[in-house]
Amino acid sequence: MKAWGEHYAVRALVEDPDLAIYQVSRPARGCLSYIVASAGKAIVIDPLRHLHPCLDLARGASLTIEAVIDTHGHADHISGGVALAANTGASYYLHPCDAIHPIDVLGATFPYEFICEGQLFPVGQHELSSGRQWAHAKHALEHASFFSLRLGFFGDTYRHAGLPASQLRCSPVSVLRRVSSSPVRMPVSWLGSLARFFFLRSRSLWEFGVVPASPTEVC
Amino acid sequence: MVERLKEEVWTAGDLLARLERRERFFVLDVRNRDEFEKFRLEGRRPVQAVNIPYFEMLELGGKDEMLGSVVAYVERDLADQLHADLPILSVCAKGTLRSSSRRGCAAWATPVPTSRVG
Repeated sequence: MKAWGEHYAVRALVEDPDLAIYQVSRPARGCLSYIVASAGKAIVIDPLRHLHPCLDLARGASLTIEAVIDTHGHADHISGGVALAANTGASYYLHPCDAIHPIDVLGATFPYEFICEGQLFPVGQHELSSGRQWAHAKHALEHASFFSLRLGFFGDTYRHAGLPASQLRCSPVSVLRRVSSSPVRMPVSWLGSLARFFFLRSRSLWEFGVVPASPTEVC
Repeated sequence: MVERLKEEVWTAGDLLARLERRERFFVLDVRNRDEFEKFRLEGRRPVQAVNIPYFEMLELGGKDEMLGSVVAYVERDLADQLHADLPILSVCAKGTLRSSSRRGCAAWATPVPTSRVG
């Protein structure tokens, strides 16, 4: 089980001349990470616990990692963000609410930069922009969502009737349109907490197909 | 009598591919119970599993010799719990993912199989 617990799988979701998107999964933990690459530059979204899959991919594809972003910072997402940023010299971005310890409510002591709503993250010939989605039940955290020209990258809190979180985690535009145009179902436990609709930016989105998902739930 | 049949070792990549194809198999997890409770195999569909710690097999087998004790336990107490028609994936803490059939349980008597898991 040790080998299964530490197994990572990398697959290309998009491989175009000007844009590549890779999914890195750790199936035993149900964790997903994404690498958005363009023109030799890369942004890593929700880096996973061990760095080698990401570093190996960047080395093999001659990518310079310029930014490392966590969409959320809960205990269910075991992030290697701080270590990856230190290893590559990239900036590490986190929403400030996610940098607050949930028990002692102290701020993070590791280096990071704030994510602001609407903030733009250039990557080669493309850019990601941050948005908001549902707040988490207990901590009223705001989560950043990232939209490339084709995809939305969500944290783990977003749910929609009939759609597993693993599909929403990195959603093609067809899914985003369906989500944004129909009511969202929330677990009852969330109703007492702050809940925000995310705002889907109406950019020139276009579709590319179905995103392979992790076999287990995502975080 | 338990007889040893064909067995194979799955890599972690093999296991992932089978889970993604929604293949059916049965898991015999020989780790300690607390380890099993904290972390077990999961897939898009529930993965059928039974947890029998290896050292319980040794103890409950009631034989002086290690291999004989495990085989005795499997024949007497475990065989009926195993699926006859599904591949049986036996997993230990160290890393091996070893598939077999119900009648191939004697292979599990090997104390710590050499891991070939990627």
